[in-house]
Amino acid sequence: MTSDYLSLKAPVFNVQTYSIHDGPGIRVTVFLKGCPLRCLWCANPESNLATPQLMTYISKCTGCGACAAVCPNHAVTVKERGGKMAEFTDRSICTECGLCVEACPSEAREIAGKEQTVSEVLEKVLRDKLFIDASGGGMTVSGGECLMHPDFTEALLFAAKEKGLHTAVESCSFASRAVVDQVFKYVDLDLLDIKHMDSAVHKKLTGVPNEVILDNIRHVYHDLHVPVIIRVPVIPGYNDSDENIAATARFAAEKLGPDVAVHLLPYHRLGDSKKESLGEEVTLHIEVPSDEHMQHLKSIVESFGLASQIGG
Amino acid sequence: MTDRLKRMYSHIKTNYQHIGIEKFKIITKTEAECAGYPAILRRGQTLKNVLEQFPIFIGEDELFVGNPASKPWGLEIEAGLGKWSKEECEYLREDGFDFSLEDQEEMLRINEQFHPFGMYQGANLIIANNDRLDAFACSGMMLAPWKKDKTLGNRVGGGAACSGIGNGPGWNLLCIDFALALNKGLAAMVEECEEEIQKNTYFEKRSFERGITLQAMKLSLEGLINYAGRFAKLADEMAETEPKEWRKKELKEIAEICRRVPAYPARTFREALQCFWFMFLLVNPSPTPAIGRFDQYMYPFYKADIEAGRITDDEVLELLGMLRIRCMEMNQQSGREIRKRASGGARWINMTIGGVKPDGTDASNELTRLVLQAVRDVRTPHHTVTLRVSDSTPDDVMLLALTCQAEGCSMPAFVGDKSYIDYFTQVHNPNDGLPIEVARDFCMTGCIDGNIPYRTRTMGITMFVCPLMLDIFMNNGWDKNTDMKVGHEIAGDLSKYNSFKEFLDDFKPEYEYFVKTAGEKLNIESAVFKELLPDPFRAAFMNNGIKSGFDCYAQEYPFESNQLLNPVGMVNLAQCLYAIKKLCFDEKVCTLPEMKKAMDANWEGYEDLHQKCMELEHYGNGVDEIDDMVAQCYRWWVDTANETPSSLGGHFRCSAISVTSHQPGGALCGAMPDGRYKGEILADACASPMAGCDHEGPLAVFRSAMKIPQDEFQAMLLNMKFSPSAIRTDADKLKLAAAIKAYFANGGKHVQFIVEDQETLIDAKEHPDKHNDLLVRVAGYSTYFVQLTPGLQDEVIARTENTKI
Repeated sequence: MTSDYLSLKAPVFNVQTYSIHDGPGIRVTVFLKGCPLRCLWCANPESNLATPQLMTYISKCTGCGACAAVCPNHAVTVKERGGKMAEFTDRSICTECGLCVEACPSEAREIAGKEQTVSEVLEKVLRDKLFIDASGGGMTVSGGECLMHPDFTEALLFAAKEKGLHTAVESCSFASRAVVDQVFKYVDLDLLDIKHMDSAVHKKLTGVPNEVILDNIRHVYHDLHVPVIIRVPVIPGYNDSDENIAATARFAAEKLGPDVAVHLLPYHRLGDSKKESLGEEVTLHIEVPSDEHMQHLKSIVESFGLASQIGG
Repeated sequence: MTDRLKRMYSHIKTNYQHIGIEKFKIITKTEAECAGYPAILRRGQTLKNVLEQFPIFIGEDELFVGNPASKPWGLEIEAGLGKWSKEECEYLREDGFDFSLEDQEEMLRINEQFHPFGMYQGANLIIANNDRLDAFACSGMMLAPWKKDKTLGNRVGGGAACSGIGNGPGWNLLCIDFALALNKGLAAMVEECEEEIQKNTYFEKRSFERGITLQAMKLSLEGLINYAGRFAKLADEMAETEPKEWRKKELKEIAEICRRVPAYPARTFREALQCFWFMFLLVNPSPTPAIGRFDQYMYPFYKADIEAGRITDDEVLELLGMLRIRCMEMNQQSGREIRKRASGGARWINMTIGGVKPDGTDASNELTRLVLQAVRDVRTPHHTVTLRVSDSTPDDVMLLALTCQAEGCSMPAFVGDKSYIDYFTQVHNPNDGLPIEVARDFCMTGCIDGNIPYRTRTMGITMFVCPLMLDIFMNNGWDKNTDMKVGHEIAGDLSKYNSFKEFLDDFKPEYEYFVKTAGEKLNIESAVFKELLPDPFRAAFMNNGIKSGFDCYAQEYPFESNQLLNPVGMVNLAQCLYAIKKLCFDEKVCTLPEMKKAMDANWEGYEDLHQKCMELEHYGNGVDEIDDMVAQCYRWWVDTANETPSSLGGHFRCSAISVTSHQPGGALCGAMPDGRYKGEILADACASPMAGCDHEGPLAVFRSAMKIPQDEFQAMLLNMKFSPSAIRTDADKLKLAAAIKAYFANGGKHVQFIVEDQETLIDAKEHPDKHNDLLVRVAGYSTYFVQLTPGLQDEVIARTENTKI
């Protein structure tokens, strides 16, 4: 690691305090932008690209037109949308310059993602140290995908550990072995996603096959000796069959170890809202899984002798 | 809920009650007979007569007895809180109350001869004749605005009707020594009174007062013993004719219990609860009757019964549920105008549980848990429960308490042992404080004001509208609402200020003047209360009661917190000062006279400046510069209070609860630099951020609030919004419990969670600017509710409904 590791930068779209579903205790979760996967159901679509992006919130928009007035490219107009007058941004000419964000009096516009240094991020995390310590919590790096920014993530994790923080990483594990080795050496707990056990289906759902992912998970657990929690986003109709959940649990029990818990995260539609804020079309309409179904899947995992829970 | 509780629950009546004049008749008759007697003796005699003559009855499912009104779920016309006019009596009937024409005629007839002299009349003797105080009182800076028509004549209009058979109006924050009644019994106390009466010598200035007070105490104690005796007799009579065997047996038990308590020490949990209820009936009427540390003083009886196999937890739970339902009998109604604003009137029947014992170890026990279980079982708004939290409060108690919250019980409130104890020991000024063993025994009186049962008491409190100070200061001392000169002509031409420091140097003395003037007004009111409304019953159970032989108003206590100055909207005042500092001086966005013009114009034509004010950092996000301004304003408050002498002894102390005053308080203020428009509501509570102005999450609110010198306050209210998704599982709740404990270990005093209900979410959809802080919590995902699309907002709203029990 370089000596000036505290000034390394990465695009951060949120430092969320009081995160209670991303590892033990109260955590501060750092969301990085940029992801090698394109999951059909992505909950944080603003994290896909590593560059800043304009987001607009129609619920808060009053249609005042302040944004349209300042746009140098005339990309913004006010028109009828969803039963009220509201802004419309032509993304093909928008350069994400951010002038409209400053002009908006209703906080209905935002640029998601800003290059931040390790020390800037760490300073925000440490503000809550009192509560982190009191609850046995720590810092979780999430995304996007933190493995897209290995130098920054390594540095942030190292710096956090220097300050005595417990560290966790939420990752899709899709990266080279060298990157995995670089980042995971300063991690106390890995929250690793498995989206599907069948590589061909995995590719269809996320854009990439799963061999590298499963390989990396085994490596993290067996060679790097980092505790692992497997997280499965349960997406009805895509990966929630009994067979796939059983295969995932079998992988955890047989290829990893009996101490590996499997957390089943029920699909929620909240990502759709963000898609709209990004000016993207929502093409997929997936039902939220029922409590009964989630309980059923949980019992499948438990039948492999593994601890399981619904939600993070 | 047991079948018995279900039946009782179904009878709960919160409006359209029967209104009786039985208590009124006894009191007015006794007052006439005792005209000219010292007030305390008169009040002792009226209480005794009420207890011996008031109609009594036993409800069909009751396991402990004693009725706060002459009819079930009824109210009694209150003698000391203004007269009811004929017109208002008719309004009562029009609005559905059960008030007979016959009673009305009799009351109006009595009214003609009866001339109560109340607090308003007494205080007005001074205020109406002092222009300075009159202008101050009329401004409403100390709520509510004094009305000029409150002249010497007896105000006739909507009086009050209350339940409770003790000496009203009970406008105080104190907790009597329930344990004394339970463990010693009133017969022994009567004997003690008699001994003291005989022993009293008459050489000193206050010997006569003591001799009289002791007689009054004796009258009130005898009255309560006789009251219980009447119930023993009634229960026996009812048992004779009761056809149901099980009820016959219960009535006989009730008779036995009433022969025992409160005259003699309680031996069982049932006896102790009955004794408590008799005592409690006598601290009502009051808007703030404190139950105290119920899980402590009741525990020995519970434990002995459980060990002897005399009672089961299920039976205790039923009794605790019954207590919740019976506390709903404590009601209050006023004239039509007040009824329209607040149905039933706000009241705080506060039971304190948990915390530490005097030796510092964890005090929670089985009864603590059963009280919380009763909260879940029997959903009533009263009594409320406050959980004292220390480092040693067990996880399962925290979990149970947060489960109550998650299920929408809106209680218990959480208070931090450390900051309350530090207040009573006065860590920052130890010469002024109590020993730590005593301080550790504090309980809630009123909303969240701490007091030590029987060892401290608060007899006066004022709600003070802080931003109005700045409004009037910038208007050169004049109040725009009344066109009266309330302050001093200091500010004048605002362009003379070249720096924020110069401005503040002029404002601060005026701030102190206003706060001290509020102290003066309260001193006058308390002096009137002291003269007119002593209470020998409460006095017998406070601060060495009979040994001391003086009323609560009339003796000095080891720790004086007898009067409180309570700021409302301090966060707004600090935000105003911050805006002036930043915009008029640091960044020179506008001049001070321009700011004043914008205020006078209610921001009309100054939209850009308004936007600049709104864009400033706000308290509640952990930003030092504004948080420090809030802390500074509170610091001045404490310093000023400490320098203001109280007419009841010692100096004023501080409390910070807003109750509902942020609404009428805001209504008095003009448009101000914190960005509020004229008349807009002030920040809720006293450590809470302005609505919609915090956007960094709950921990940032904690961090901001921790900068306020909370140890110097008898209460410091913090309300926090939470979405149900944040306290769904036990793991979620334990994380929140850890955050609460960390807040309390670092200077925090209180936190109350408002778990978002559907209505709030719907409001957030319609008014996103008021709900910027509302987070949606899902693993691996982050956003704010107000950023969701309308469709998804609806989905979250629908989901919230599902999580409701």
